[in-house]
Amino acid sequence: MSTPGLILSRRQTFAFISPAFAIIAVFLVFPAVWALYLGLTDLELTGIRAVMPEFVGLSNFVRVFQDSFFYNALKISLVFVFGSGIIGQVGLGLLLALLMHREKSWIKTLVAASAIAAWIIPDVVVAYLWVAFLDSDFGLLNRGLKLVGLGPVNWLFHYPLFSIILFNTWRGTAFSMLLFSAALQTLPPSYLETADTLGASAWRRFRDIILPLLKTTILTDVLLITLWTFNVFTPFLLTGGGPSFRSEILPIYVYRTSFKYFKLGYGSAISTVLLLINLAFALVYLQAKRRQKKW
Amino acid sequence: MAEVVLEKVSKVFGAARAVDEVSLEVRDGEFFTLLGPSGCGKTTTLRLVAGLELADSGTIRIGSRDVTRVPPPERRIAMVFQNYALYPHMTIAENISYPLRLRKVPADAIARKVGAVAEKLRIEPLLLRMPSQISGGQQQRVAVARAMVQDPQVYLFDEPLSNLDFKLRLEARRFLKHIQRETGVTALYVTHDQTEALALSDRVAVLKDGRLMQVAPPEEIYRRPANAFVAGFVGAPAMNLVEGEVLGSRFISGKFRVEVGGEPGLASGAGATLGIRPEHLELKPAGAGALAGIIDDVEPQGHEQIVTVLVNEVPLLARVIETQRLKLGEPVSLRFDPSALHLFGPDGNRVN
Ligand SMILES: Nc1ncnc2c1ncn2[C@@H]1O[C@H](COP(=O)(O)OP(=O)(O)OP(=O)(O)O)[C@@H](O)[C@H]1O
Ligand SMILES: [Mg+2]
Repeated sequence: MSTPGLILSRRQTFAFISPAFAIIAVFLVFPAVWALYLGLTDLELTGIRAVMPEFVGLSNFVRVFQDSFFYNALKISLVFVFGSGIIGQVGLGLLLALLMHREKSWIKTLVAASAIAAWIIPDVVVAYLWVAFLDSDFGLLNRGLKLVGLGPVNWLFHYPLFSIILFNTWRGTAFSMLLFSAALQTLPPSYLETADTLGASAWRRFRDIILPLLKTTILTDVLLITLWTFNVFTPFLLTGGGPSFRSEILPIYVYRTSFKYFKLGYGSAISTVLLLINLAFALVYLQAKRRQKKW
Repeated sequence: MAEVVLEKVSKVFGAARAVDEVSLEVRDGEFFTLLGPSGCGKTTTLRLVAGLELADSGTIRIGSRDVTRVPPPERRIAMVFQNYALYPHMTIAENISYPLRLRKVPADAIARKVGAVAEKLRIEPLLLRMPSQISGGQQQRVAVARAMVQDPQVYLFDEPLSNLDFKLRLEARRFLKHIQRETGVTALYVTHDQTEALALSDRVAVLKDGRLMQVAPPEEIYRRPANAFVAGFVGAPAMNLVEGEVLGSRFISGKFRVEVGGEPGLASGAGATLGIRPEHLELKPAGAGALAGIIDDVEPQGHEQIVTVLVNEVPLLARVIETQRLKLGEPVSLRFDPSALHLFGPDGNRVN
């Protein structure tokens, strides 16, 4: 039963991809479904509940929505996503891409290179660099402030959320910048040159030409960045979620619940809620994309 | 309306001299074409006039104003790009009105103007469509319409017809000329297509490697090319060019000899290039013409044939209008009017 035009029959095709499916099932689907299931139990990491977890139905979820720590983490996550994801990575990435777009000098290469460098350095190293940069006694930032007669400021203690927003922005802007730069490259130069001869200001060029033509790219980037930022755990390396939960984003809260208080079942339930929030973002995005005007 | 003057304008990209000391004067209301092979600097010259590139040296004037360092919008030019640069997310009406909207022209004035231009260019039924929903020829008109609403002093066209198929190109070319005549706005036009240049222009500038080869009206470019490059570039099929030397009143290339008349203005024995257009060579039976040869190749073109005749090992193309039957290897002769001969000196410049 081979369809004309296909090299492989359907059966052969299936045979070729089935190992991949099997691996995906074992290592991705099964753990995910297992985590969903755990959310319905009172499993703990130690003690009697570790050996004999009981099925508790939706009671974990009822608890999540009455949990003030959950709301605290949700609020901080939203600020974190908005600040470091939308404003920081997407916004700054777009701004940098626009500034670099028609630049021809070595500055362009330099900016691109440093942005990529920031992106490829391992998380742990970056976190360490930022801890060092922000250190209240010996940090570079405070040394600099001292020169102009300010500070010292204990950044990680007094401004923990701001610190991790700054960190995550720096960490991820390169991706957005590269994505937008690539999209800008695909625009025929004559589009902007026509606008140049017409005397369009930078703002009008952006609003009238670049923004409409980059809309799809921007939407895609916003979705990716939102999901990544929502799920990122690295800020833990800077602040550990503290002080007093002031930088405790949802993944850190899940971690604290599951591995510090050993409540695996409850932690899984929070994870499931996190997953649902991600799903909601994705749906909004798909809807927005569908409503895009076609030309 | 304005004239465009370039004085010793140069533009260098790295090691490449894209435009090399070009001086020209485009008269007010003239249709002026820059013609030349790919990479000769036509687009760069146009972009220098537009202000999209800044000259490394020299002066550019539009009207009586020095615009060498003036930004593009203040030059009162309107440019039509090769790809038309219509914005795909705007309707045709929005595309045409965009320059006016940028200038904050009142809405009713915009509507009137867009309507008038659309009527003149016969694109009214398209106004509400998107650029992807109209044909290439229509897109070209829309691009011209967007240029027209700007009331520029100069139109700049960069190969605006090269994306069209052959038939459409002829039609669009006539239309463009008609529109330019009617508006009387100076047009600077770039093309690598010599028939297009000859058909459209009041005057043509031929460029090679960023340097000006000749500036003249089309007839003169064709009849009296200033040098061997222009002679070979303009005309299809290309002019027969034979390299050799002049001895006395004769042009000699190996066994190929032609009488070139009394005073060729060349020292005897100097290297020279002889040129004659295929349409000025008449195919005659053997013995009837000045040059004896044999038929080497025949290319039927429908209304005519391009015949290659080997004259003492030198291949010469001749255009034969009649549909006479020709056999390969047949001995024939070629006749020509000595006044149709072109003679170029060792530096390639015309000497007769
Ligand atoms: N932005 C640029 N950077 C570097 N070199 C350039 C640039 N623009 C043009 N050149 C070079 O300058 C020369 C002239 O280019 P130009 O585009 O003016 O040629 P053209 O006559 O328009 O050719 P075509 O018929 O192929 O469009 C070429 O050698 C080209 O490679
Ligand atoms: Mg060009």
